[in-house]
Amino acid sequence: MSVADLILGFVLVFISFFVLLYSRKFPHFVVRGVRLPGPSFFPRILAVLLLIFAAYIFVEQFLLRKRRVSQEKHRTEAKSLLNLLWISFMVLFAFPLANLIGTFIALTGMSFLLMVVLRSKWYESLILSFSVALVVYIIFGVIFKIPLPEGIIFTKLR
Amino acid sequence: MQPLEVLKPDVLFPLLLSMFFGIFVGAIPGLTATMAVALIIPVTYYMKPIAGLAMVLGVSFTAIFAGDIPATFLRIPGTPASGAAILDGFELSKKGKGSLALMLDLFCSALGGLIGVVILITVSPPLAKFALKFTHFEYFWLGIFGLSMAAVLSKGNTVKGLMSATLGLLISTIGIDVTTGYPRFTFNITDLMDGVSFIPAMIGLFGLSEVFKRMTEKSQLQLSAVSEVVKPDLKETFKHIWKHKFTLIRGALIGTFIGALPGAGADVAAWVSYGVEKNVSKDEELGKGSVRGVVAPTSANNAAIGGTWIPALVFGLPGDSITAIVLGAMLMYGLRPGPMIFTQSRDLVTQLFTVAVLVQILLIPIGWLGIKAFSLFVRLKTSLVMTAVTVFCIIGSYALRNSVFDVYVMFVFGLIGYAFEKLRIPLAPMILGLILGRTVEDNLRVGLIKTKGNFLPFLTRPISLTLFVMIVLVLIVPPLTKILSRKKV
Repeated sequence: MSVADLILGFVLVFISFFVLLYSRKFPHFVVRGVRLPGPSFFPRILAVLLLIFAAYIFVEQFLLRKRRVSQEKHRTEAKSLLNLLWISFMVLFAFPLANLIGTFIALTGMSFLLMVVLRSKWYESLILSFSVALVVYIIFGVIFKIPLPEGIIFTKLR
Repeated sequence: MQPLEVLKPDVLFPLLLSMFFGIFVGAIPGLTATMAVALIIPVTYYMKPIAGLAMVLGVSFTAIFAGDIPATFLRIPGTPASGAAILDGFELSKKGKGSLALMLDLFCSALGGLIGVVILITVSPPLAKFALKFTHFEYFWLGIFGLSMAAVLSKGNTVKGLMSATLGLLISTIGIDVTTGYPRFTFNITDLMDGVSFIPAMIGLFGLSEVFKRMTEKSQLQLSAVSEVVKPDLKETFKHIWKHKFTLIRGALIGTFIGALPGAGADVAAWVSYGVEKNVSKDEELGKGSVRGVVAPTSANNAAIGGTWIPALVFGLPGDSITAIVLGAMLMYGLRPGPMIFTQSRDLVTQLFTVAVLVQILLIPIGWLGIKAFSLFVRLKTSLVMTAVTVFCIIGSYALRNSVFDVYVMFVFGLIGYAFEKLRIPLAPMILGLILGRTVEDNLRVGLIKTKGNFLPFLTRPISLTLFVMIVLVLIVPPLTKILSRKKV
């Protein structure tokens, strides 16, 4: 039995019930007394389909392969998890940080730290992160003139 | 002359840059052509549409070719489309004929790509005229057909493919309902009123998820240096191409046909072409270092790209995940893919076809440089490549609307993509669902509104009925064949 697939089945059930319940508050679409497919029509069809897929997964797991033992071992090492968390942190906090200290410095700093986490030598990381941030800044900020955050600190200093 | 506009620097220069980028991404194992296209789209936001589309074409053709380079030298496919090229390419390389394999690969990719593009140019306009007969009923079934094909043809479990497509459709319902103006699943978040943006979603699904995957795997990108110095022997290359000309043409035709099927991309095309060659040629050397085994898949995978553009341009139906991104980008440029594009944006279509031919010509010198530079690419550190991809994902998703919310959308889709990869759920059907969601829902609802809720006209019109039968066949035939073959055993 694959635990991951079972979890997937439960997630599908959750999504479909959520859609079915949430879409109940969507208004009806009535034209000249005739009730026509409204905003809830399509999402509800999809929710029912998801329920069917979930049922298929459960049937497959419990009835068809009940003796099958999952051979997949999703062993995630602590280091891998740290990498994952660090990238997530970088994505989520890149712009809040850029709003504070400016895009270029934020990207350089975060890239540097990410490279160090990924076991690059510090001086190598510094040069490479500076180069990556510079290339990105030139392409988006200078050539395409996308208003990248300059940072509150630098704006105030100016 | 409209077609010659593409030779102006504002189109040609981005095209050349994109081709170099395509070589770079394609040659690095683990980075896919889809990812390359997803990463280049943000750069094209502020360009004119033809320059943006030229970049997409340049990246996709070169990345698919470049994927064969590590497949030949290191037995690691640069992109999934190069899986079939490993078999004989690597064997030739072991025999000291790696440079011959790569030169064959380069010319077959360009020639196969050219055949695919020629078919695209000749087939699309008449097909578009036919597509003008389509109404809401047919477009609804066409969307469903595309989604079911994607689910069936994508690797892994068909049910999981269909589930992925359904989830994509569900995500597409987020935002203001066009018919009633009611906001659905927006949770009072203003940024969700317009729905989930395609591009950040795709950057997340194909770019960030790959970074997550790589960072949690033990295998690293850094590989051993290439021992063989590439010495091209053009005379020998052409001799082999001439000798295997029918294999090349067959591969290109198979590639274009497979590519034109919604959901089946260059990887499926390469394997099918290899399989057909095995049956047709009865070459016992196949798999042991046969030239035929290089010609067949490499001509097919590049020809498939031309094929994928046929349903994308004519019906607005993505042929694979790359064209799914392209469709999102075209909507962003203000273009509406579908039969009307051939009349409303005739100049653009002509220029697009010219670029596609130009790419095949430019592929030869740029591809050759790529082969030469390959040893430099594989020496790049994982940390650098992954950091650069992450930074591009962040800024690229922000650049679309200067919105930090889009960065978060990209992050969420990155996590979804990662989870899907772990659960072996194909990503392409979800993207197709996301792209086709509005088309499918609008056409279903408008059709039902027209018929006052009667579903019968969806099945009684000749083209609708044909499409419906095709969908049933697509969904029923594969499991039925499986059951029958099991019974036989």
